[in-house]
Amino acid sequence: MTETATAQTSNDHSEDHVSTLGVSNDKLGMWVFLGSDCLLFGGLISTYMLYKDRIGPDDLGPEEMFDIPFTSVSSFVLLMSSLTVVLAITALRRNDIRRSRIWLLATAILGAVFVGGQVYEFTVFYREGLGYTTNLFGTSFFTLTGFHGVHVSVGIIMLMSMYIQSMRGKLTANQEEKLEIIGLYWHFVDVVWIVIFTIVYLFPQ
Amino acid sequence: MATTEQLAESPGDNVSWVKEDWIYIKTAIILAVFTGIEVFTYFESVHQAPDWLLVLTLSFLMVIKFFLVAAIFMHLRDDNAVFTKMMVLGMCIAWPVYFVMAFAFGFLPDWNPILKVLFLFVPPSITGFWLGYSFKGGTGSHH
Repeated sequence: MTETATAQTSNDHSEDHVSTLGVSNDKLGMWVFLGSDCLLFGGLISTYMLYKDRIGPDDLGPEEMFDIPFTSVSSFVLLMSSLTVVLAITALRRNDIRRSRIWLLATAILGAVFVGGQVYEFTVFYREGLGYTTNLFGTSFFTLTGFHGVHVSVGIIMLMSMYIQSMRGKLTANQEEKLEIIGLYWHFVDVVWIVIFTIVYLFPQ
Repeated sequence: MATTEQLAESPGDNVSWVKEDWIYIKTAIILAVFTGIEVFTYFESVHQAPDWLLVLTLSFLMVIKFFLVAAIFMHLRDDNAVFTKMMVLGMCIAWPVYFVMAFAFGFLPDWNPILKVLFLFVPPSITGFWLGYSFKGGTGSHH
């Protein structure tokens, strides 16, 4: 009887999440947020494109500053974290909690490696004379990549909260959508980096 | 170490999850290869190629990677079509806005004005027409 009641409550709970479009409200909300974030990053990338050549006669420009092999490794790490998060979701879907937890932790670690790489890159730039207010190239570059770094950091916090929930037994196969929504955010952060890496670092200066 | 078949046949599991995971692994490999090609263009010998060729190649790879992540990792391929439509709608609006900027500030070649107008408005118009045509009334399709 109790089990039936619990199942009924659980069923009612999931019904609450379905909008009139036939999709989950939470998921729809995340997609709307990602759409608005897309515009924000679009604005920041455009600003960088406009200002990347605005450097003083003695200042170092993008071509002298960027360390492409190093950033390529960071990009690869972030790309692989998209795989680990999707593996965490599929593991949770088939109720393999242990493996889901491992993949979640792996994703958070890969994200932390990426952020660590970014902090290192910023430190090197600063030591070489490129500060946030040195020139417009510096301002637009640090704003764009720093803003992306903040997104990754927020993603790591969300992943760790999922990990803790999983450790406490509060993340099970029927709550897979929770992890899927955070996964969407994580993939978005990856997609944005795909664009930033190509346009900011690899396009001919 | 358990083989793929053994994992799939373990109690409570089925074959399809291994297949699903394999799709994601294959996608990640493709993404890694594309990233490798992108980085390869940075090397001196390739970097001396005309700028337009590098920009075209890198943009093409970037778009493919973008759509692979969106379609497979973000499940747009299998999820409710309304998510795809939302994303495409945003891109329809963004297309002319960002390319007007790109033309105005000289990031793209100075094409013939008619060609520019066609480039700016034809792709989003065709996609927008498809979007408008495909939206249905009622409660929408349940996936």
